[in-house]
Amino acid sequence: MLKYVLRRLLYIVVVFLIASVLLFTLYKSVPGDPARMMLEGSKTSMKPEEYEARYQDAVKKLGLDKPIVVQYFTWLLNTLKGDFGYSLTYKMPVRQMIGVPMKNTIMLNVWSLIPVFAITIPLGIATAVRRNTKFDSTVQVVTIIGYSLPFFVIALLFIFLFAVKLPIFPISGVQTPALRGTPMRMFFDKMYHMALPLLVMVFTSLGGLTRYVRATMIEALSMDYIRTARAKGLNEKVVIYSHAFRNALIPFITIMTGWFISIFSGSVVIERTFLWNGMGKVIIDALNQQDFAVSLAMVMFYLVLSLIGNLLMDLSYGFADPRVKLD
Amino acid sequence: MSKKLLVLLLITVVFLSGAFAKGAQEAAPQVESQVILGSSTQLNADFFDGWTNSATNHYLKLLMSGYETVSWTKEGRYEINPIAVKSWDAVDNADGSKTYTFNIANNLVYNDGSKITAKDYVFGLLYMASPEATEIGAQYGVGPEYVGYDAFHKGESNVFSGVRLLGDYSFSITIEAEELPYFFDLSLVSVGPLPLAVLAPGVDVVDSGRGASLTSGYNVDLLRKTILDTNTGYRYKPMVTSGPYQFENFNPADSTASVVLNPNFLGSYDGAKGSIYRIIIKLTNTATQMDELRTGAIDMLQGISGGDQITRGLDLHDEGRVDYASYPRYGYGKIAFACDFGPTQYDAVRRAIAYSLDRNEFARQYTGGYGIIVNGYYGASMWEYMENADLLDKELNAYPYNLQKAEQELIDDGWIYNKDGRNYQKGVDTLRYKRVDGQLMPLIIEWANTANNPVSDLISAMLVPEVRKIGMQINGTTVDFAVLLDHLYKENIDKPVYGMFNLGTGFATTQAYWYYYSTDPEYFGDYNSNFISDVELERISLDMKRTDPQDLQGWVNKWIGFQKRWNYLLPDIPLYSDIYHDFFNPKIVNYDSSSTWDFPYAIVRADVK
Repeated sequence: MLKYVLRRLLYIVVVFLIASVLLFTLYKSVPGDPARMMLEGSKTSMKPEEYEARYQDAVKKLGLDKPIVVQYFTWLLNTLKGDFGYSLTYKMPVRQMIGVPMKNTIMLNVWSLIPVFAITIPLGIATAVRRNTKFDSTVQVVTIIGYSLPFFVIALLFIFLFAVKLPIFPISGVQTPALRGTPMRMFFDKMYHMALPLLVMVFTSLGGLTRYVRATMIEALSMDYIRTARAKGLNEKVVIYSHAFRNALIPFITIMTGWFISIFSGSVVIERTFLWNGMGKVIIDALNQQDFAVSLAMVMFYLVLSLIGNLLMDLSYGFADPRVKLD
Repeated sequence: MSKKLLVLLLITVVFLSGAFAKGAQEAAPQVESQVILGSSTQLNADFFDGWTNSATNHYLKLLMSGYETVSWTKEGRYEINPIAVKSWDAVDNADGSKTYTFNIANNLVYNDGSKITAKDYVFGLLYMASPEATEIGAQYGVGPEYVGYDAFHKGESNVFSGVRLLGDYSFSITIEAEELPYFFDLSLVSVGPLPLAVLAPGVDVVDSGRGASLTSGYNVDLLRKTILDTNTGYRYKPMVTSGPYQFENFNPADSTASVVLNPNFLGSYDGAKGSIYRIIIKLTNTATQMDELRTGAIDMLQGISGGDQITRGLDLHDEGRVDYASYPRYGYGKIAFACDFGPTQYDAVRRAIAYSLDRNEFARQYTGGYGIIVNGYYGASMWEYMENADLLDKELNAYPYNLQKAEQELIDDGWIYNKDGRNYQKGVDTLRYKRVDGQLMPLIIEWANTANNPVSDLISAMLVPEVRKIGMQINGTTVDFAVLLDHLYKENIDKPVYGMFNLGTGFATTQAYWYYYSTDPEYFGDYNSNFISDVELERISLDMKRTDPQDLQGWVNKWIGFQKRWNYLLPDIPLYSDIYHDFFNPKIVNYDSSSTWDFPYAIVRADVK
């Protein structure tokens, strides 16, 4: 087991290095002049000679005057030391500017995970157990709506219904502007602002996950050992939860890994629609504004997260199913 | 079991939602005198000049800045600020330089009650020009026109000879001879105070008789601590300021910032102090911003353009939910030409393109009817235009859609051959050629445009097919905006390809016509992005620069001359100039905005009912 983990960690390092070369080269080959972007907007307020001097300073500061190989190693070493570079848009170190959006994203995603799993797992099991009944058909129809409609359509629909027509929730934002108060009051205000995006996230996640749990459960319930368990006269709950569900867990763990990574990654549509200042919005803005230090740092971060997530997933298989041997 | 669990969960969700809503409603601030501006431009953490140029951050910076020596007025001019300046004089020196001396009022204080003296004004200039400011990553355009700037800025001298501290409430600034005469010279000496005790505690401003300098202790480490510290730095929390408003809060979680009235503020140049207690800027998105205005989540949206959004705003106005103000943009969307190579180097070709486009219909379609067209290098809200609109509208060529005139321009310019060098025959030949240095040049224009851009779509539909009728071909290529800029400025490219671009432009309040149309190759690219080399246009613009600041009529006459020459040469074709709309809650009264007098100026003079 230890050997396996060490081997996988070595594999993570190799993949990281290869990906870093590819991504760095890719970003460097994108057209555009980061030094000019750094000075964008200041041109009209300075004389041409001054602008040129500032431009040359910017080139030097960003290390663009050095060969690309030197730029790569400088970037890699800095990244490994935790210095992810300088955001051209925010004019501050990347590490400093991503703190708040990362916190917002994690908060939103963790809060959405609770109702999503709390609803979909029992619902998926229930529909599998009662498949082809009216209850099953009704759940299938309702969940397919959330599953098939685009995210932004549902988001705008919910805003129209619950923030404009029935003004229960705020349309956007994370907090009531200029609100002051006790931590409890601030917490409730934040939760109030989070409620609508949370509802949309839960609604849109129900379909896929419920159907996934249902499918894996149906497969598990059709296995011979379930028939055996029932023939032994075991209680139906024990059959479903101890025998069928545990065996349905393996494919479910794959899904869980994806969700684990998504806790940190954020949803571009949700964050943009509800102006929830999270990582999805930060990355898309960074790409649009060619703030490559930010987007490169985040892509590398998600790469490492995915590799670690995959490792954890493989390790989890072993725990969920004793038949799986990690070697 | 599952059914029970499901019901329980649904009840929990509903209960929690209700609880959150109730909690938040209790928490909602009940401050009457408050205005929330919705902005689709995200605020960042910068509230001190030198770093980002975000428009919304700039609004708040302006609200927190005051007591400048020279103020920007509603009429679009520069005037001495009588609240801050008790007396002043301007002396032309024997060496051609000019010295402005200011005696500031002795009753000025910052929002925390601490006194403002001449040292704060001089410190502001020294700080912004200092190499230490550059070292910490700040960028300022203040000072290059002053005597002794280069030596001080490069660190060769610790004395700024063009800036003098003359007393507790007196200081002077000397402008270099080579910058003079300069019509906007007052703008060069518009300086405000910066709190020396906050930005450089322990440091003093002294004057040895050769110029002002900062005492020892002023260094990069000190500035990093006082300015860049993320928790207390002046860049992020400017707690000591001089303007009508003072910093209250910035919430990075949702990019919302607020400022509140500064009780110690004596007034702007016209005496305006501000009466609305709190001003908040909140992020909105274009899809739902009108809904936010409707529900009262925000009180104001400003600078709205585009037919769809304006119509939604006007619907709210019809329902009595909002008031609005409208004004023309201080710039325009345009077709820009490369005037140094290919067919677009010939002004006749540029004029032919202008005649081939129905600009009125173009502007109507793009702006949804909320836009106008201009015929020169100006915005319709410039005072020079507003005072001479009739004359300019009469004398400038509006290039009305006319293919015959377009064709005649080409013929007169020598575009009379076909590909074989014989005379171009309409209906037979499809492309015109011109003999240039013994070679035939085809009338093919490469046009760079950007994706998902309705202006590009309209040009494709309304211009490209029309020019074909007169023997011209426009080949459009969609590129990334950064690539478009590289080609426009001719940077990072091996060889120029595109002769035509479409993009937007905005004017500065002190537009440096002489840089933008200089024939000096040093100015080509970032400034003269048309690469136009017209001696007459440059001569007029330099003549404008040298106008005596008091000679307004002289300036206007030259400005009109410039516009006529520009209108003939047509380095750009102005396509549309939006009519911006500000929509606001009817509780806000006396809000009178324009392109050059936007939110931070107008809101200080507005009230809440």
